Amino acid sequence: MSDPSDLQVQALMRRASSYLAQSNTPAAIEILKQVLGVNPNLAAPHTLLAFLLLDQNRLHAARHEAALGLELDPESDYSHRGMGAVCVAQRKFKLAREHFQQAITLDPEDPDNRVALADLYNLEGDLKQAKSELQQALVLDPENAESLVALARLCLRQGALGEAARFAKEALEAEPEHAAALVVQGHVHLRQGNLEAARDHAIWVLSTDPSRREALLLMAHVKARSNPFIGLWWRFSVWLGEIGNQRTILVLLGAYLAQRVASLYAHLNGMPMTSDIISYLWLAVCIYSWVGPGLFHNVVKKELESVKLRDF
Amino acid sequence: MDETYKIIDEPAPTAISRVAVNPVWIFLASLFGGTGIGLVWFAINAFAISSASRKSELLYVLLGLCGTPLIFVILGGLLQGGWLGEGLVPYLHLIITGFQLLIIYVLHLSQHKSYELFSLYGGVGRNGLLVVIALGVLRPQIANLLGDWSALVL
Repeated sequence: MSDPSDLQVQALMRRASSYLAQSNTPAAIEILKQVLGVNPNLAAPHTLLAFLLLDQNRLHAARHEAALGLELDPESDYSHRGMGAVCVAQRKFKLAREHFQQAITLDPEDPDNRVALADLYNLEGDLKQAKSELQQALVLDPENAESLVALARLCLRQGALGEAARFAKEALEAEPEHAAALVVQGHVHLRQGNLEAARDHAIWVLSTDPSRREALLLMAHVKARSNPFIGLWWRFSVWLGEIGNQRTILVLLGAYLAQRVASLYAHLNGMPMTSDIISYLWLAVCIYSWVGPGLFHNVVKKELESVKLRDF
Repeated sequence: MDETYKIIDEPAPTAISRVAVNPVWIFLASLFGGTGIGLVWFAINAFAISSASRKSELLYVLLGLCGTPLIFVILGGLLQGGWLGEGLVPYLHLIITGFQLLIIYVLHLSQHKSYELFSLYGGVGRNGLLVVIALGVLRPQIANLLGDWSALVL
């Protein structure tokens, strides 16, 4: 006869998985907290919790949970994959690669381990290795939607739009309504200049999951492309997001100090008008960066409100 | 089921949770009211929102409070020793401004994450607009009260 607490844990894990499938991260986290309240010595819920905390950008807590998962079950490929994902978020790529490779050694038949390693190679810019890992993942499971979508993303990054569209289509054949595959198709349309089709793909995903981040990003890209004034802020914001917090601080501080030095130099050297122009230009940039996000969010919000009115 | 697992960064309610504010108000207070005031407010807010990165934030506050006088002393020494020309004085002020901006920006980024978590777990921040306006308006009077120390504190 099964231990009642085991049955309780299994029931809770099923509920957590169900919330996960609905992309309801907060609810899934609450259920996992209950699971770990019943039995804190289970590795898999700790690792799953780490993935969910990463989704909420709670890096410190995610690392703690992934470390607990790994400590409880160091022979699990899932534990290593969880820790690898945390290392990627911390931009500790070498350590992440070691964990993903260990995960592959522990379970060479699981394509998800290879997809994780391929994502890392992709991030590092080693597209050849990334493609090789994804091809091996597809050998293990030719209809694995995650591998196909990852390959589609890779092709998109390489500018091979036709191949990207083909892999995204294959992913959708394997798993109809696969959100990430639809988003990739949207990006292909966007690159081809078909804004309407790109927008429709974003709406398609958002109509079933309004909080889907990648679909929101696609929608934002579409809006930024159709409105150059807002698009400029969006591109700058995306670029700052890519370079990380520390560099963002340096860039902004550097820009501020550069304009102050330039303005001061002009003022001290008998060029008051130039000094004023520099100061006013900086003021304009500040106002734009203050107003830009608000305008941008309003435009995207309006679009999302229209999603609710549409019948799919 | 009574037991619930506690995630390491979950904010615990504190006695001063009621005075928690969105760190953007403190950032603005630092700009309009003075960096010293902002730094002290950041330190209080770190406890109010039960920030998971409280220790590092307090270290940054300490660095900010000690760093400004230290830069004054170093630059003053270099000027008096003739290592730097008098013509550079207007530019040297920018070093202090840059340092203060760096500290408050880092603190803002750090507390912003903790504040999001504070809100996620039901915490409600107070509106700091009136305090920011008051600090901005009263800055000259505060500077007068502090006298020569105002350059170091504000």
